[in-house]
Amino acid sequence: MGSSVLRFETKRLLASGAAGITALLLLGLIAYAGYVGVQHTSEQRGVIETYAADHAESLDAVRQRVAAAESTAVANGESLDGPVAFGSRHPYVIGSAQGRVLTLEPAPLAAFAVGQSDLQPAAVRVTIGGREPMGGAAALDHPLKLLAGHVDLAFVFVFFFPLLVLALTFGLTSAERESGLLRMVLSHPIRLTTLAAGKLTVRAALLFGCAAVGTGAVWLASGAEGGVGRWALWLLVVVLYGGFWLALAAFVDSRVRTPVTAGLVLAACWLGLVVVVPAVVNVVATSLYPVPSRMDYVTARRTAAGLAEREGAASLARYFNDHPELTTVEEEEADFPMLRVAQDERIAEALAPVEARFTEQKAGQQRFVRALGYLSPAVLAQQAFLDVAGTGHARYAAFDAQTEAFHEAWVDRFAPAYFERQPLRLADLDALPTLDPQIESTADLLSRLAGPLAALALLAALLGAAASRGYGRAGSAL
Amino acid sequence: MSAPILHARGLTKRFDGATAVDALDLTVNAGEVYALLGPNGAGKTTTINLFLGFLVPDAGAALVDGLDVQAEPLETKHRLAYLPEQVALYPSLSGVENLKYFAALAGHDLSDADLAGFLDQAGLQREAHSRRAGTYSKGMRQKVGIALALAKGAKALLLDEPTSGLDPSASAEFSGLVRQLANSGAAVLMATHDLFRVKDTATRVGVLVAGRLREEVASEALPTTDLEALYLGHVHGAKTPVPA
Repeated sequence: MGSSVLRFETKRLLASGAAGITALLLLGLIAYAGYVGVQHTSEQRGVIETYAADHAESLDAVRQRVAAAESTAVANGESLDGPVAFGSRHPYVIGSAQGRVLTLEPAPLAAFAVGQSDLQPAAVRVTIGGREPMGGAAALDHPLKLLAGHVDLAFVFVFFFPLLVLALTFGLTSAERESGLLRMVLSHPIRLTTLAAGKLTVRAALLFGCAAVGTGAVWLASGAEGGVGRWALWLLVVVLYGGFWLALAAFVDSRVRTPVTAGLVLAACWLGLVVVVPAVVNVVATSLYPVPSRMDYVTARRTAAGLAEREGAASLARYFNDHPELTTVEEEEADFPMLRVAQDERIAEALAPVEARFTEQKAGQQRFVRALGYLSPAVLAQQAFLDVAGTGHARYAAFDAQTEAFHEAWVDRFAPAYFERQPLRLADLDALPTLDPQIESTADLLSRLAGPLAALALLAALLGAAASRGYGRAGSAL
Repeated sequence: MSAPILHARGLTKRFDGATAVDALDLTVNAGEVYALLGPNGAGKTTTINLFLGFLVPDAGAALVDGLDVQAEPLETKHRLAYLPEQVALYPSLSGVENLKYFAALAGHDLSDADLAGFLDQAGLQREAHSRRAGTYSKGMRQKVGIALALAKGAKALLLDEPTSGLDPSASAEFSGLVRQLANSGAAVLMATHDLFRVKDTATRVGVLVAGRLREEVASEALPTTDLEALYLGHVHGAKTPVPA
C-alpha cells in the first residue's frame, strides 16, 4: 500500500504543479545564493592575491635596495656582517616597515556560507609594531550590505527552506480530512500513519533531491573544494534541519482538524524558531557580553601611542628593564628603530586589556549562543552550516591565534637584530618566517558538529514519533 | 445458513456521555440490502463508522465477514466498500486515475481496460472517464464509488445517505446498481432517510432511534408494511406501528 501512496502522491504533486513550483523556487534560490557565494569567494580570492602580489613586489624592491646597499658597502670596503646604521640594510626595513603579509585562503565551502568572511580580515600584516588587518576599499563591503547580510546558501536553507517544507506539508492529511477524502482513503486497507509517511517521503525526496542537485552544482561551480565529504556533510545538515520541519509539520497535522489551523500554527512556529528566538538569543548575548567598540580600541591606541611618544627615552629604559638581554647600547646611543620597538611594546601593553576583553567577550557571546542555540533549530543549523562551510567563528579565532603567535615569533626574530644592529642580508630575505594557517582538523569539526546535529536528529525523531502516535489515534477518530 | 457478512454484536458507542449507538445487534447477509432508517442523530452514521473502524466502540463488536474490525482493521477493509453521502474524489485527477489509486490501496493493480470496464459497469459515460473528477456531478461521483466497490470485489457495501441530493432518475439508476451488487453476493448496509428508495431497494429494514434498533422488517413483510407510518411511529413515539 505504501508504494501506491508514493506513486500516487508523486503523480498528484506533479499534476498539481506543486512539485514544479517547489523545484523551481528552491533551485532558483540555490542558484542565486550560489552565484552570490561564488562571486564573494572569487572576490576574496582576488583581494588575497592582490595583497600577496603587492607584498611580493615590495619585497622585491627591498631585495634590490639591499643588493645595491651591499654592493656599495663592498665597494667602500666595509664588512657585510658588521653593525649597520639605520638605512637600507637595517633589519627595520623588514621587521617594521615591510613586515609580513599573512593570508587566509577562503574556506573549503566558502561559497556556501559567507559567514564571518565579510567581517573578519582574510589578510593581516605583521610587523614588530603589531598585527594590522588588511582591508582596502576592495576588501570591504558596503555597510548596508554588511547589515543586511548576504543571500548565501546558509541563509536560503535556514530561512527559506523551512517555508518550502511547510508550504508543501502543512495540510498533509488535514486537507483531505476537510474535503472528506480521508474517509474515502481510509476505508481502504491502509493506516493513516502509512498514508502520512508516504506523503512525507515523496515531499522529502523532492525537497532533498532539489537541495542535493542544486548544492552539488554550486559545489562543482566553486571548484569542488573541500572534497565530496564536506558537501555530503552540508547535505546532512540540510536533511536533519529539513527533517525537523517535516516532522513538525506532520506532528501539527496529526493534531489539528483543518489545514488552515495547521498553516497558522506552523507559521507561528517558523516565526518563533527562525526569527524571534535567534534574534532574542543574539540580543541577550550582546547585552551580557558587550564587546569594546572599535572606537574604544582606536582611542586606547591613540592614548598609548601619545604616552609612549611623550615618555620617549623612558620607554626604552623600561624596555631594557624588561629585556635585560637586549641591553646592548646605552640609552643615549639608542637609534630610532630601538626606540620604536620599545614604544611598540608600550602600546601593545596598553592595548592588551582592550584586546583581551574583546576576545573574552566574543568568546562569551559564542559560548552563550552555542548553549542557547538549542532553543532554536535555526540557530543550530546556522552554526552547523558555518562550521561545515568553514566560515564560522572557529576559523577566524584559529587564524587570529596563529597570527598572534607568528607576531611573537617575528618580534623575537627582529627585535634582537635591531639592538645588535645586525645587517639585513639578501639571504635573510629568502628565509623570512612564514605561516601556513592550520585551521581545523576534520575530527575537530565533527566533534563540534556532533552536538547540534544530534540535537536536530533527536528533535526530528521525537516529533516524528509524536506525529506517528497522533496519526494512530486520529485514524480511529474520524 | 451462512455466517452474516456484517454483524453488530451489542455494539455501543458513547460521545461525552451521550449514547449514540446502544447495544446494537444487527446482521446483514450476503445478497441482502439492509436499510437502516432513522432520524438525524439516530446513530446510523456512527454505526457505519464503527464498521469502518473510524470509531472505537465502547462495548460490543462490529464484525465483517466474521472478523472483528478493531482486531483486524486492515483485513476487514479489504472486504468493505464505502460510499458516503458525498463521494469525495481527488479533483485534479480523472475518474480512471481516482479509481486506479483507490483500487491500488485495496491491493488491486488494475489495467486501464479493467478500470474502464468497472466504470462502464457503474454507468459512468465513456467521455467522463478521463475527465477531471472536479467537474463531476454528485451522481457521477457515486458511480465512481460503485465502480470502486466492483473493482475491490467488496463483500460488503456501506452506504451513508447515498441518494441524498440525487435527482429521481439518478437515484433510481443508483438503486439499480446497488441491487445489482447485492445480486452478485454483496451484503449492503444502507443508512438513509429516503423511504421511497428503501422500498424500492431494500430487502430488510431496521428502524434506529436514539441508537437503539426499535424494529426490523423482514423482506417478506416489506411489501405489506407502511414504512412511513412505521418510521414516523417510532420517531414520534407512537406505540404500535401501523401496518399497511
